[in-house]
Formats: sequence, C-alpha cells, structure tokens
Amino acid sequence: MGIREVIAGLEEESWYEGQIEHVELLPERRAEYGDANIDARIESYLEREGIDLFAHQAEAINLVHKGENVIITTPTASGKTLAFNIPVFEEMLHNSDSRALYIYPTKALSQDQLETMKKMEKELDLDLDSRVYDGDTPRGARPGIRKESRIIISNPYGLHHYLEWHHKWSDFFSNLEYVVLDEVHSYRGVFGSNIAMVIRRMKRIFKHYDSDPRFILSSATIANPLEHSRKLVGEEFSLVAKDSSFQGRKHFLFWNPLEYPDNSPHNQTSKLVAYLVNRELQTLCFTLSRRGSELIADWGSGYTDDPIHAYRAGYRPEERREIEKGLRNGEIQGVAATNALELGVDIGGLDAVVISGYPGTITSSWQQAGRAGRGKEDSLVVLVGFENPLDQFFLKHPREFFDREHEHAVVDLDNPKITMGHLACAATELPVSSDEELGRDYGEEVEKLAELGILQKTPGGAIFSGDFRASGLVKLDNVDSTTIKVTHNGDLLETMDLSQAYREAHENATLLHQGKKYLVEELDLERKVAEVKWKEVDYFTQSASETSLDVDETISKERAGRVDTYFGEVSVTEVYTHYKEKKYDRVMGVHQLDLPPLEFETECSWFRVPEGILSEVSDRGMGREGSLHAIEHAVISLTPFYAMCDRWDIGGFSSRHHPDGGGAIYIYDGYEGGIGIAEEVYELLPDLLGSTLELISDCDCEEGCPSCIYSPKCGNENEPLDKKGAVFVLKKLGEHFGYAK
Amino acid sequence: MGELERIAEKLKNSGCKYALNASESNSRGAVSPSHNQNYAIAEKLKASLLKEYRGKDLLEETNFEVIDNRYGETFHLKEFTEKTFQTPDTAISDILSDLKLVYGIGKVREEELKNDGYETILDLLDHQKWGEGALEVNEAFQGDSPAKGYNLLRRWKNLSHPSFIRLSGLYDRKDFAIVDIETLGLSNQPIFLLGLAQPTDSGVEVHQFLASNPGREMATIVQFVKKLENLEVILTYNGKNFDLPYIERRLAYYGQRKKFSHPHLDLYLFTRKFLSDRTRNCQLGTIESSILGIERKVDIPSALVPEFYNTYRKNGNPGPLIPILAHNRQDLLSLADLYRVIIEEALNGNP
Repeated sequence: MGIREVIAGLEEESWYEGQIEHVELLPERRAEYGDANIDARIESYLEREGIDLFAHQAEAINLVHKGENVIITTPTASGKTLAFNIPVFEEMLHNSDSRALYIYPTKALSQDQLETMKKMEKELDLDLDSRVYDGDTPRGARPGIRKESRIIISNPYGLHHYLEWHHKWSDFFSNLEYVVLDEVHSYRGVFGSNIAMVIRRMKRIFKHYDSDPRFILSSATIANPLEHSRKLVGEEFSLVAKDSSFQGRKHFLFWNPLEYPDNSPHNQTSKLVAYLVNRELQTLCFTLSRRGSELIADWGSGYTDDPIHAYRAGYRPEERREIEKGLRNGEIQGVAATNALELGVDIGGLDAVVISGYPGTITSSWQQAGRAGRGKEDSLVVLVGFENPLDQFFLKHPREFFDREHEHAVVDLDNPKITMGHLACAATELPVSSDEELGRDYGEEVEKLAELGILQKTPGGAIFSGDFRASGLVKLDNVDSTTIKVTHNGDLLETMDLSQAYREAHENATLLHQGKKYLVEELDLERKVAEVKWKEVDYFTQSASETSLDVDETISKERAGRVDTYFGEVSVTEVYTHYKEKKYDRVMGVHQLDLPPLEFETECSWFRVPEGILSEVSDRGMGREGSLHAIEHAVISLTPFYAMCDRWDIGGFSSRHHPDGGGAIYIYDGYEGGIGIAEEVYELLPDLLGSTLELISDCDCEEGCPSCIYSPKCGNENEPLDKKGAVFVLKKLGEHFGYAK
Repeated sequence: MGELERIAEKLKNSGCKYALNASESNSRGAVSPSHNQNYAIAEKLKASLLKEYRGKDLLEETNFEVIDNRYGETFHLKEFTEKTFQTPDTAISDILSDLKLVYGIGKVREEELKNDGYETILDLLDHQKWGEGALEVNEAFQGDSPAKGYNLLRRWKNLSHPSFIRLSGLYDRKDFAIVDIETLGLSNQPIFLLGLAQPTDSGVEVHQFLASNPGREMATIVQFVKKLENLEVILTYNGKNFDLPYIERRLAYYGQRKKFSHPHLDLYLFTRKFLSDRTRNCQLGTIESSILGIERKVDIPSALVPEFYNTYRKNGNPGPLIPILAHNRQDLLSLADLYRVIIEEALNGNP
C-alpha cells in the first residue's frame, strides 16, 4: 500500500475527525554522484559493497585530501560516517603508525561506531584494533588500547579526565593524524563551551607530542556550521552541506488532536502508530518523555498484533541493542522512543516517523523527521501537536515551521566561569605559558588563580599547585549525577537520575518498562534505590511539582529610575506535592507526596516591576501574571544573543509578589553554583529589555507565537501569557531604563 | 571584589570541598573513632609549631643547603642516623637451585629433573635440551650487575616472590635507595618533598629534597633523580604503584620522558603476602606499632600533610614543615627495619 493510500485510509477510521491540519509534500530528490581519488583498496571495497559515492561524500573526501578541516552537515543516513571513515582508513593503509581519535557524545554512540569500524576493518582486511575507551573500559585493558589501537573511540567526559595522563598516551598522541567529532550540534551552549575548552587542552597536548591532526566534524543541520566549528575547535573549516543522496517523496502531516477532543493526544498518537504498523509501515514514534514512550508503546500495542516497543534512556545496553537490531532487520515494526534515538544510532531508514509533540528545536524536528525514508520509497512524517500554544501555533502556521531557520549553536570562550576551571585542568596537564596556546591569552585569569594558590607561576609557565584534583572543578554539562537504581526482586531493572525518580519512581508510582507495569514499593533516597513490584494495574500515575525561588544573597544592586535590578545567589526549589492516578485520561484519584524538596543553588539576575505599572496592567484588563510570564520567556529567548549561551542553559521565574512590592522577573543559570550567564544578563539588562520590547511589539502575531513569547521549555505549558500586557510593561520599564522610544 | 576574583575564590572553595571529600574517601582503611581525635591533635600541633617558629627562617632553623640547578633552586638536607641495614646472605647457588627459571621448565619438569640429579641450573648447563636456557639464566646472575638477574626473575615471578628478596642480597648495602615522597594530592598534584635514604656501613644517610614552593618542583625532582641514578636498587612502601610512577608522571608534566629501570623491592607487596596475619591492616603506621615496635611520638595523619605544607607555603613559617620532614624521615627509617623482618619471613619461612 502506498503512503497516499495509507493517508487516505485514515478517513475511514472511527477516531478520525479531521485531525490532519496540513499536508506538506517534500519532493523527491535524485541522487548526485561524485568522484574522489581514493585508494585502490578502498575503491574495490566500495565496488564490492555496490557503493557509489554521493557528490557530498566525494566533496568531503577531496577536501580532506587537500589537507583541510571539514564539517559535514548533511542529514542522518546520508552516509556521513563513510565520508569521514574513507580518508581515515586511507591514512591507516598508507602509514602503519598513524592513529585516529573519534569522539562521540555518548557511550552508546561510541559502541555503535565501533561496530561500523570493525566491519570496515574486516572488509579491508586491515587490523587496526579499533576500540572504545571510556568509563566502561576495564582498567586492565587500557594500557593495551593506548598502545596498540590505531583508532580509539571515546567521549568528551572521559577525555576531560584522561588528558592529565597524556604521558601514557604518548604513542597514540604522537602519531595522531585525524580527530573525528560527530554530532557536534549537541556541543552548544555551556556544554559546547566546555567541550571547546577540552578540545583546546587536547590540541595543546597534541602539539606537545608534535602532532597536528586534521579535524573532521559532522553535525545535524544548524544555522551557523562554519562559525560553530571554528569556535569549537579553533581552526578554519570547509563546509559540506548539500545532501546529494537520493530521497523519496516525503509526506509531512500536521496532526491536531484537538479536533477530536474525545481522545487525548497520547491516545491518538498510539492509535496512529498502531494504524501505520498495521499497514506494514515500519514506524518510529518520537516522544518528549520517557513515560510518553512507554505509554504509547503500551497503548499502541493494544491496537495491533505487532507489539510496539519502547526505547529510552535508562534501559540496559543489551535491551537497547536488541531493539536497534530488530529495527534494522525488520523484526520490529513499531518503536516509541525518546530523543535517545535521535542521534546517529544505526537503525536504518523507516517508512514512517511520528513526532509526538514539537521537540523544542527546528534542528531536532528535522533530525527526527530524517529517520523516515528508505532510498527512493515514499515516506511519511506526522507531527502531532500538543494542546500548548507553541505546538498549536505551528499547526496553524505551517510555513512558520517549514521555512524556519535552524537554531544557532553558540559557544563562549570568554566566560571566566567556564574558562578558569579549564585553565586549572590545563595546568595539571602541562605548565600553562602566557602565549596563546589555549586559543587566546588567559593571562588575567592565570593571575587570579595564582593569587589564590591554585596555580603557581614559574619561568616555564604556570603550574597547578592546588591540593585537589583540578578535573573535579569542571562539570561539562548540567546533568544530575545522582543515579537511582530501580530494582525488581533485587535485580537491576533500570537507572534514572534523581529528578526523574521524583517524577516517576516515588512511592506508589506506576513504572512502565518494556510494556510491563511495575508499582514502586519504596523510594529509598539514602540507598539511592527504588524497589518495584511487577503488577498489572490498569491505571498510571502522574506527579506534579511546584517551583519556588528564594534569594540567598544579593551581590550587586543597581537602580534604574525607580526600578531596582539585582544580581545574586538564589535557591531554586522544586517540591513534588502530589500525584494523580489516571485511567487513560480520566483522573481516578489524587494523593499527597512526601518527598524532600529538590533544591539547587545558582546565580540569578532579576528586576522588580513596580506595583504602579502592574496596577495599570490590571486596570486595562490585561493579565499581570501573563504579562510578566511573557516578558520572562521573551527575555530568555533573546539571552543567547547577548550572553553566548543556549536557551536550555538558563531558567526563568516570574512572580507577581516581590517582597518589596510589585512583581519581579528572575533569570537564573541552569547550573549548580551558576555559570556566568545571569551575571552577564545583569550587566546588559537595559539593552536586553529594549530588544525584548522590540521583539514582541514588532512581531506580527496576535496573541503570541514561537518567535516572541512562546517558550519550547515552559514548565507551565505556555500559560498564562499576555502579549499586549508584556508590551505595555516593557514600555513602562523603558522610561526607567532609558530605552523607551 | 572583581568578577574574576569572585569566580577564582568560588573555584578554590569547591576545590577544597572536593579535596576534603577525596581525602576522607581515599584514606585507606576505615575511619576509626580516633580519627577525628588525631585531626584535632594535629591541628593543635600545628598551632603550637606556628607559635614556636614565628618569624624564623627554614634555612636558619635546619641544615638545609640551597642548590641551584638549571631548573632553579631547591633545598637539600643530609642527616646521618646510626642504624643497621641488613641485607640477606645470598649465595648465587640458592637462586640457581630454582630450575623453573629456565624457559620451558615448570613445576612438574623441575621435579623430574631434580629426581634425575639436576640440583641446580649449573648442573643443567650441559643438558642437551635445557643447556641453552640454563646458560642464559646463569649468565644473568653471574654477570656484573644483579639487575640482569632481576629482569630475568621478573619474567617468571610476581613481585612479592621471595626470590626478589634473595636477589637483593647480591647488592652491597650502599647500592640501596629507600624512597618516599610527599605530595599535595594523590593524582597529579605537585611533589614537594622527596626522601631518599642511603645505607652506609655504619648507618643510614637520609637525604631530603624539598621544594619550598611548587614552582621549584622540577628543580627538586631533578636533584633527587641525580642522586637516585647513582644507586642500584630501590626500596619503597607501595612505590611500585605510587611513588615511582608519580615521579615519572611529574617529569612528563615538565616535558621529560623517563622510566626508572632500577630493580625495585616494594615492601608493601611483601608485607601483604608475609605479614598480613600479624597486623590489623597494612598501613605503614600500623606495621610500625604492631610488628616493628616503633611508636611515633609526634606524627601527623598523611591526609593532613598537604595542609601543613600549604600553611608553610602561605606564610613562610617553617613550623608546620618540621613534622612533615620528621614523618618522611621516619617512613624511610622504618622501611630499613621492615626490610629486615621481611627477609626473615620470606627466606626462613619459604626456603
């Protein structure tokens, strides 16, 4: 059955009430092929495999041959891996000493890449002893890998720690010819800035061992690939962006579940996935949460004989492997996954992808959509919008989605909060001299660290002189490191981080794992274990939390007109108050939760909105809360352009009740202890608010849209929001800050 | 306070928090009830030393000499202690009675050969099959340096095998270097004190090389290495895993690649093997009291050594250094005694 027939067939279904808001037909694209002058052995390998190089692959190889650093940004499944493996393997064939380092953002991707390597080694009858070297590598195996393996696959978290052992890597580093960094779009914001510093430390060590490797990067589509690679690596790059692989027609549907209010969006998604699987379309559904993937897999399986499998973080590697394999060989027809399957795990192309809820970025949306399509065949993508204003906006304005620019990846090398920790690490690796070996002169920062005795200046450079481990000063991302083990009869079922456990593994919570239902008997926070019991209950639970913010210390305060602005330290507290027992979407009961609050201390900048302004807002029939909330969102959306960060690096909070009267808007760092963004915001607040006013008032939308006040990461589903009120308040504030027109 | 100062200060605080946690979890063995008490005593000790040495200068208070080398300045102290340093009476024939040293001979074959009258490797020299291998072994032990014998032993024996103790008897006592270092941490923080004890005919000469600030680390290590290079065999407590690789790593940090090739007796390994039933744990301090009969009058917990050094470094008052120097020196001297006990255990208990 063709995709068109499948779409037409939906009309016959009892649960179809015209939910398809829009159909976008993405035309077929013919493949273009190219020539590259590659080694005869690899040439014949390609012939045996029946591979013709696409134009973009040939282009990438030719650029690498010319000695250039290359960034490839073509979509998933366009043969990126082959494009960078060919020049690397050529080098390995030509020079038996050469080594290459591959860096992947996750352990799972490293393992996946290893399999590809092994296959290629075997086909080429080449023994490179490619190995993964990460936290799971047994201690005893490490010296051998460092010495013998010619290709090592690792991740940035590990390298951050391994670099200070560089003398043990001297053979490897001395002969390093290529560094491959995959999925570099994920290295953005604070995380990306940290990675950029790790790469600079790494490059300094390469230089110490007299090597000067080429860099090959690959990324999902982003708005600024060249700028991003330059900042990430500190080298000039050439870009390969035009996908020349063949692509069948893609039918992109927008699905609005609100057209059929009898069924919840999750329920409709489940039916949709089952419908597609029943029509023999291998289907992958992306969900926003781990629970979502389990629910859709569970409910969906009820409508089809072919079980829908869940796939998400927390599963054991064997479980994941099993599902990936099933997708590749066709034994599994339907999977509901979190974005854990969004990155380059090799699962082949699928017939259909269902995106259950806008994933927050255009880049992610197209990454997920890119999983649909097998060569020349037609494929189907369905975006199921949720009830929130952001999703609904896209459903109602398809052009805003299809013509929208991909996100910018931002990296900041000047944030001392980031760079100083890395300077201490670098000084543990090799003395830091004042020249620009780390990308720029960090003399001032070194001076400050020396004053405190963390570094000590010597004629040969500054050395680390602290009595602690420098690598412990730096945390590359803000992922919670507390892991809760979920056990069933004492056996490990899965793992989750602490906040996840609060949401999904509190006492009496229902926990879904591979379609099986478990009831949590106890969450022991001290032992970090949640003990569950297998029980096929017919309901599921959903917990709810409240967030509050307390100012611990005001570090700076300024007055603009009659408006006070502040910078200081705050505690953000999230309390899980209760949970609901739900049968499908019906609430069966509400129960209190007794969990200690989740608290995190960070830095924040905030300003007070005088009561006078808020009263005027009310007098004019606009919402106080909605106005403040809208300003908070818009300020956060603009912050990356002022403070070099990612939207996901910062959090916001607005309150109608400031202790000194009026309301207040808070912008805080999403990192324990703060990461310097809020401080930057404090300095730039008048400019930032001025631009925010422009952004909102110039936006053509009526009630708000993703370009102005809708946030893809709002904890309150983008409600309430008052666009007119926001403009009013910002204009009034402008009289104090001096930006009012 | 400026932005950079504030951030640096914060980093330092998180580093201190981190160091504290690390030192707690790294202290080998469980935390005893007396643990906190020891800390309190050490703190008191530090305070009284600071008072005693207020306004005084290290070079005036001690016999340290200043040495200048191409890497800068370092301090060196030499002290003599009367003490017997005893090496085993080893006859080469004892070593050569182990036929298993010949490639291809295992336990079973050794027994067969012994039954056939081949008592030592010397008897095997003319053996049709094993003669060549026996010759190699014989040459390794009869040569000018026992190091060749050591390397041969390393092929077949793990490092706690009594053969190594036996082999050490082939050295003159003046060839030994007992080594112990003091560092700012356990992974890759600077070394600030390197102790090396060299036995003489009448006692033991203790050399201590001190970096009065971490910036002088390289000059200090280089000076130590110069001394070590003239000696033949190294004796340590856990130096195989800690001290020697640590020194190599710090040299690599300063861009010098070096691997020490000295024969090395790590007494920690022998202690675990031969003495563990006579002691609560294998920390050197415990061994001293339970086996060697040494009671340290004043000592500071190893975990506090960096803090004492940092106090000295910060205000120049040599007081807190005094117990560190004594601590390091006692470690070296204790190893001389421990070596004697291990010789007895390893060679008498296990012929």
